Amino acid sequence: MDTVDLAVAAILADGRFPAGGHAHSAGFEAATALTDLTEATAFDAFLRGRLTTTGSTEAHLLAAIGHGLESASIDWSTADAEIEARIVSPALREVSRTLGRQWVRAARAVWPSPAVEAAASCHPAGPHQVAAVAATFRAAGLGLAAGVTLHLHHLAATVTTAAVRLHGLDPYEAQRRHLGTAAIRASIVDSAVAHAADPWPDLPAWSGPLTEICAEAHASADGRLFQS
Amino acid sequence: MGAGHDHHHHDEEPAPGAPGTRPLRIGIGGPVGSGKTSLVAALCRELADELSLAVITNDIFTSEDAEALRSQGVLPTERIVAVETGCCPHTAIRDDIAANLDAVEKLEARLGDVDLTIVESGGDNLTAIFSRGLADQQIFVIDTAGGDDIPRKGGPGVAGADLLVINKTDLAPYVGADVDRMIDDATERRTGPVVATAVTADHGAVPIAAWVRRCVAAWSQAA
Repeated sequence: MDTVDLAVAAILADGRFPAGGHAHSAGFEAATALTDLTEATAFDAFLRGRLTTTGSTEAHLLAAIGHGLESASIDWSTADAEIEARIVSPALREVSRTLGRQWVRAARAVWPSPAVEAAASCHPAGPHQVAAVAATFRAAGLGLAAGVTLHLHHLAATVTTAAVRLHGLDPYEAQRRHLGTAAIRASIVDSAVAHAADPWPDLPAWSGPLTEICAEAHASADGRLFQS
Repeated sequence: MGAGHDHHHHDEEPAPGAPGTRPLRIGIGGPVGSGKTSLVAALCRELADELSLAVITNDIFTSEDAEALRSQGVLPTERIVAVETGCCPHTAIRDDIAANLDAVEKLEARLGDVDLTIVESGGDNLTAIFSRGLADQQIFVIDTAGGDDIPRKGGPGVAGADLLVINKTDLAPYVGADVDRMIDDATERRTGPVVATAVTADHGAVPIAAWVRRCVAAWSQAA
């Protein structure tokens, strides 16, 4: 990655990039409402669990779509259905499309491209998050490994920020534990890139049943601070 | 700023948010408890017979304000939508407006006939202002009970909002607030209009509704 690519990646890695993620906790608020996850060790366990289940599924889908874009073989309608099938909770499906629309909005303004437009029109309610993110990263010129790395960074950073905002977790302790997942994230990136050309049915569909159940409860919960 | 005034238009071609391409969007911001939700309710009562309205609320706590508006019956339920802001209301109206824009556009598209969309911020601090990408005009609401030194403290909300409302003038004698001083200080901090009123009193929101009507008229004339 040359220094220009790095500068572009830095924009996409920045939590201040306006794609709407700041209002989400990646399931952490719902999990802490249902169970007692206020300690740093529990935050750490949630983060690792989230990365290695649904996070890994997202990573593999992202790499597969990125590969489809690179090789000009992407079938958006199939991609959309394959993502949909891997999100069990209807509430999370809606969240995913909302975030997808928000990524499209940002990408259209900053990296307008046919890939982004194709992703945007793959479903009347907007693309799923990973589809929009894959198209944005492609439009920005990011490679597969860099793109998956950024996506997992955002997932981990979302949980970390939520833990700090919701429970006053020491931000240094939070970042230390965030850093502690770097090796897990790297191994997920390696796997996602290695399987990017696999047929859809062979891609993982790992899920976190409790995450999905909590998300359903969260969607109608009173007093929630994060959208998901 | 100044929708409908050509000298404020710097772009060569009409932006996607230009007058005529969509309804006017007015943001209402201000500190916690200053009366933002009461103002939205009062504006709905004043304007609902003449304008097609949509309301987006940004509560810290989910749909508290949206529920308050629905229960007051000022607008049909389907015209009010709540957006969560992840513990950070000013981010949602200023730095990352994605969720609000998404909600605004969905609601405007669903209703189809909207003349005016009101976006109510979650209660925040004196530095919170709306992005021009989200609100065409913005009202900042402070109140006498929040301290009569607030206009003197200034900040982007007091100085930069298109309309400053000093609310709860009826409470001023009980909290030792000097309304005249608040108006004087505010006038020093800003060039735009200042309205001192009690929005829950009879006709208290009339001057604010008149300002909103002028904004809507200017927006539609510029189309």
